[in-house]
Amino acid sequence: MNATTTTSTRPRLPTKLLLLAAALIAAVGFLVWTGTQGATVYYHTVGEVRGMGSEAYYRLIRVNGIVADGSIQSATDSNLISFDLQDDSGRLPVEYRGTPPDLFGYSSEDRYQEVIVEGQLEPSGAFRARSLIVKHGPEFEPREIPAQ
Amino acid sequence: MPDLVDAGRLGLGIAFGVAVLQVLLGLAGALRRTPELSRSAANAASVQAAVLTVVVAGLAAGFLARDFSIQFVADHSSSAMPTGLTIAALWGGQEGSLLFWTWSMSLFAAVATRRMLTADGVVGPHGIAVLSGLQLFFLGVLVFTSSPFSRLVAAPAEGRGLNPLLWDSGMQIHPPLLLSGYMSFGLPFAFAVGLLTAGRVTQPWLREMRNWMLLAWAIQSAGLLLGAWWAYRVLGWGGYWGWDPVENVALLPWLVATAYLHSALAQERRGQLRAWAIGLVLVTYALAIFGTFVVRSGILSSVHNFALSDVGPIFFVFVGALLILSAALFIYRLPLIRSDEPITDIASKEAGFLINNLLMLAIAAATFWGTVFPLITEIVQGARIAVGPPFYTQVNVPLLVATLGLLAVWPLLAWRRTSLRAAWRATRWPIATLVVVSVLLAVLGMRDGLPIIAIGLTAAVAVGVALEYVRSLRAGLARRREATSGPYPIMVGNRRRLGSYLVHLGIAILALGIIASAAFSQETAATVERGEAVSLGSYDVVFQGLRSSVQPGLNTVVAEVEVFRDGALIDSLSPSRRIHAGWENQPTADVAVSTTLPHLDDVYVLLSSWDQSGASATLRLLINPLVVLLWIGGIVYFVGILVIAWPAERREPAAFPDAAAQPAAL
Repeated sequence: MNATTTTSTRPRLPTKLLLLAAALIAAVGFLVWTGTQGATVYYHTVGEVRGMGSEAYYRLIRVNGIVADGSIQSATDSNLISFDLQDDSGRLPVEYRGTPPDLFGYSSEDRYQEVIVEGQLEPSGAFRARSLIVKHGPEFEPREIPAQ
Repeated sequence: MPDLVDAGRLGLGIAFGVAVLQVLLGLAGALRRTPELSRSAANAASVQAAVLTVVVAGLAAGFLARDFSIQFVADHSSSAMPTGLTIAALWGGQEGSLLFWTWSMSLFAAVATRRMLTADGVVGPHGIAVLSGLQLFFLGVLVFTSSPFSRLVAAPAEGRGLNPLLWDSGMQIHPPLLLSGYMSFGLPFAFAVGLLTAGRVTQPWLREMRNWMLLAWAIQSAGLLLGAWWAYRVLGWGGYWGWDPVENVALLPWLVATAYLHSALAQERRGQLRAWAIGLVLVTYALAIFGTFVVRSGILSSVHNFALSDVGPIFFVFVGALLILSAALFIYRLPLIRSDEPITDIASKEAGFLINNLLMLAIAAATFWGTVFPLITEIVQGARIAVGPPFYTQVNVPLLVATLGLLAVWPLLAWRRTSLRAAWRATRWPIATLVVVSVLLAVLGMRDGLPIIAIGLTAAVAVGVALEYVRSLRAGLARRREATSGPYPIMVGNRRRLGSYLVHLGIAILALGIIASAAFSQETAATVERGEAVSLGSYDVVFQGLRSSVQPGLNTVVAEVEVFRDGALIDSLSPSRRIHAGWENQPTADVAVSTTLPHLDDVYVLLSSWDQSGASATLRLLINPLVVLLWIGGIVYFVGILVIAWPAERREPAAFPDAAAQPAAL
């Protein structure tokens, strides 16, 4: 035993632990990589969706906008809801099948409702949303009403 | 009536002056090694706390007096609001939140600066200087950009009031807990940086740092859990966690702090992982400030809409400066703080701590990545994207299950090294439980792999914890028989260890609730006439009619429903909606939940809309199995924290009383 070995030898982790750590890092890296590929959805404006035409069919996209005044229609015999999504670049008819989120449907002239829809464009020109997210009402401060 | 705006401004001015003085005294004390100067800085911290307490009381008085000439009061309260909520409105906006933050930090600092001096006479002054600097930063932001004391020239007759979503008892506890949680990660940070600038490592200092982190971590835990509870009971979307950026950034410091608390134990008991643990303290605080930045700047698209303000860039620069400076200091001092004790074997407690650290950091890294990836894409590609909950589920659920597996086995191993034989002896019952429970569930017809394993692992953790308690109880009884005079301990063992086993059990129960409710939740909605039922699974929810109540400024519509399971009446519920004056377009839901025994299903009923005649209503019905385990697990978790933190009646004579008495070494 001499001085050089004791000072130059850094504490080493046991090989089994290093292997476990390496396996864990590799597994997480893989999960993150595939997850990033699979779970990312691109946002588009109404105008962009229109412009994409057939390219937008069967491709999962997100559109952010407000619910156009008085455009909500819900079928009485099924759980189909349709409304127009509006942004600076136009209006897009949206169809959503299922239970709408709790705060959905309270849009009106003086208080607009911002929603995000995720789904695909149908050849008919309607957007079939598989999820409908209502942005919370401004939680901590009443928001100014946007000038129309 | 005194003018609160002027008084508030004056108070903040005095507090700022005291804070400047405190920083100068703190710096002088550290640089000139004069303890008297540092003691004066600690006194200044107490004065600052006293002044800020008066300022907060002043603003609260403004709220209670409904003084709408104060803009902040007019913006966040109204005469219709009950008293408790009116006080809670204090943190209902950016300025008040920052005042609350600065004030609570001053209270913590008043205590911490004193304890720093007793913990270590050399490092203490450095810690005080760093902490004083942090306090000055927040007070400066408050005074110069976000003062809640501005006057409205013409006081309105009525305030705007809080958003009805916030009209809930949750508003009184969740926001202040999260604000104090974020804030209090600054205290261990000041300890760590003080240690690095002083260049001296002592055990009392490290212990004191660990205690402050334990406190911060407990507060943040409570804030997160109450946030989940609030989301579930009030916001009415049927879930408790949505992997929204604002939620994610609150989880990040908690994860890294959890990792730190484990490596700190390896540091304390075996001198291992010392530099690593100190690094984690620095990262935790950077993440806490990052979270504050994300919440306040609105840089990430979130369903939460907070009051946005121009403090965003300030926090961005602050978090950048923190990262660069603490990383530089850390690297500079690395040779000094590095521990020379290696971890020698994978079958040891300390290896378990390291694996825990890797898992926590992996969850944190994945969550961080998912949260900021949209931002990176927008900057690099110019395209807006969203990373949805499936990403987090795919990555984090397997890691959560792995954490459960770790929890079931490693805490039962001995320090240093456990032979295969001893390891088997220590873990055979939990492992047998896992096998038996999983096989039984599969035989009974469960087909989802993850919930099966999660239930099995939770049972295994519970058995491990129970064994540990039985062992401790037995040792206590044995000592009682031998003892000739008091005190007679009932339980023998390291209280911190027994407490942390309870925390583990709480986490396992919580994790089971998360995994099961995610896997088995069901949802439906229907418009029904009086006497008709909304049905889902074994449950029928029968609509019995509407009633409404009118109070000044508030109309409430209540649906009376009866809950049947397999045709038998089990409960009556009253989901309702509140319509507040001025917020007519946002009828706020009051969810009604009935937890069934023994199935532990939550029958979750929401009144969506109704016919004006009262003849029909649209009800949303969710069956959320085992969500109640989240709250039960949470209670177990906090009982565990209490056991850990309960002041000891007497000091254990031996330095490491149970290092030699590990179960596996018996």
